[in-house]
Amino acid sequence: MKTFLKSIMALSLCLALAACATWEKVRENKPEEDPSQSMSFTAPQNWMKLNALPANASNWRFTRDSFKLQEVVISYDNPTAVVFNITGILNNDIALKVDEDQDPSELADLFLGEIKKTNKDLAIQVIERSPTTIAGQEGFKLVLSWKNPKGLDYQQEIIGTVYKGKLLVASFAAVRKNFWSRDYPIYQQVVQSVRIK
Amino acid sequence: MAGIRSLLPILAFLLTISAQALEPLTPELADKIGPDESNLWFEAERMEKILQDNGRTLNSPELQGYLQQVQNSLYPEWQGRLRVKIIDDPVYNAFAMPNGTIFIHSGLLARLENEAQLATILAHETGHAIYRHGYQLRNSADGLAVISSVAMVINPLAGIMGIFAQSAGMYGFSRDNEREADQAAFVRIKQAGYDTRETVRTFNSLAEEAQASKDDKAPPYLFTTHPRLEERIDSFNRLLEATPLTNKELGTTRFDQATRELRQTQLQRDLQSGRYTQLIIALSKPENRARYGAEADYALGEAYRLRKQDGDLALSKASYGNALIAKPGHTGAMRGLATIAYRDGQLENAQKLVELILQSPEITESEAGFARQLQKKISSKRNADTTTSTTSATPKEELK
Repeated sequence: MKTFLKSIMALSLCLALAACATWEKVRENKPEEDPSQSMSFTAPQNWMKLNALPANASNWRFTRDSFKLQEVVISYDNPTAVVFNITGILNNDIALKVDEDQDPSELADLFLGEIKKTNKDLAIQVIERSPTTIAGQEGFKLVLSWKNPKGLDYQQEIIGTVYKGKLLVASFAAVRKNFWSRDYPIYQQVVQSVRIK
Repeated sequence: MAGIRSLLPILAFLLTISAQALEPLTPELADKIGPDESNLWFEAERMEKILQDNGRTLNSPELQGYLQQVQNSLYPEWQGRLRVKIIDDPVYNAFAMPNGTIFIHSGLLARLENEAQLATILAHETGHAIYRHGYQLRNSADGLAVISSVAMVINPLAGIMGIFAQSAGMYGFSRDNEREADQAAFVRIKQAGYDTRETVRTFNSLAEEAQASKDDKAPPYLFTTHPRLEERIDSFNRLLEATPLTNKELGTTRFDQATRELRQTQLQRDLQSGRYTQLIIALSKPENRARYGAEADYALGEAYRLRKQDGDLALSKASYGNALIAKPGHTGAMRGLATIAYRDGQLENAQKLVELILQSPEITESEAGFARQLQKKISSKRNADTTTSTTSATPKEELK
């Protein structure tokens, strides 16, 4: 009886731990949708999805190996939440206000300013700043690079637009060597799957 | 616990002794420093390498060479052993490592007006290294107390420098230490033949900008958190009064030539980093703008347009206008004006400007892409306006 009770307790503990896990594996190409059902996308299969802040119902973070090696971020939220999800740093002084009619070029400049102000400890270089589209909406693309405190080179692509008064942003950041080129196609698939309603 | 308490007075006494003034460093003495200080120098070299490895130092051999030349003219007996490095950071700051390496932030370097002002900063910071203030601070009780405040003040580099920052002068030394560094700097600036009045002007213009942007959430100077700038001005004024002016060397042409590229890049960096207020304060002075040409007017226009405070759009338009007078066909200025015209509902003006941008031979592919995006927005708004005016017309108006 004792052994049986112990097994039950161990099983319960395992289930509880699984339920509280900060990340989970994306087992199928299941579409993710924001609570207002205004946008959706397909999560990268077999990648890990973060279940803790800064991720939430409108902000997603995925990685294949580790968030320090590569991450795909999708956000559909206000600028503070989006910057939090992309940088991992909560900055309550975000001045960026978005409006539906915003020129993507101006949005790129303002968004970049917020990213750089929030990420003060990184010497971020701008490699590319160009127009693009996401989910058929006119938007901007920024390609950035930086080194971490140990000197490891990183590259990041951020594309963004404004839809229904919220920022819709997709980002891919990875260690430049090996990981960037290997996982970039997966990120592109995720971007291509973004739909707006 | 009682045992530890009884040791406190002894510890305090030891700290006081170690915090007393040390013999100023000379090249000969630098080879004979004790193991404690030697360790500190080793740490300083390690930090230099870390800053370099993670891309915080600017890799520009020509500019680096120029700064080193100025430093060598101030301290010729050191024969290049007192190195100068540039930190790629828009903050207006400079600091000395205990081993004599001086770090000047690119933001501050771009804001200086001539070589005499650069010499002021270098000589002042080197004064700290020569008088071994970093080593003193490291060994003093004050030094231990500043660790937490350092982390807040030097946020951009705190992660990298860690507690080592306390001995790098990033926190700011005691008033006596600062005065000692001023005196040492003043002597060297005079010996090198520079106009000593620039010592006061350097800190005066920095203090003006600090004062003007004091309400901004991101103060541009490390020094704004301390009343250091005013103290430097008073201190150098006293030194000026006591010494007759003999030299008038400013080195403006040499400085302008050496820093031209950096200053242009820094304008771009300030805009990219969202430092609109700082840029506006710096470029509002016509003499500052004159050193940059059309790009300063353009950057000022961009800063006003992106800051979006009351009255900024009118000032932005005026600045873009000045940029176009200085450089007709400046695509960036036309682009800014087109965006404002679109926002103001002046669609025809916006359309004309976009067409001019697209015809420009200098336009890059991405600029053209963004211009076409704006063109689409203008067209769709014009179509929407036409549709609205048609549908909103009453039958009588339609008949008319």
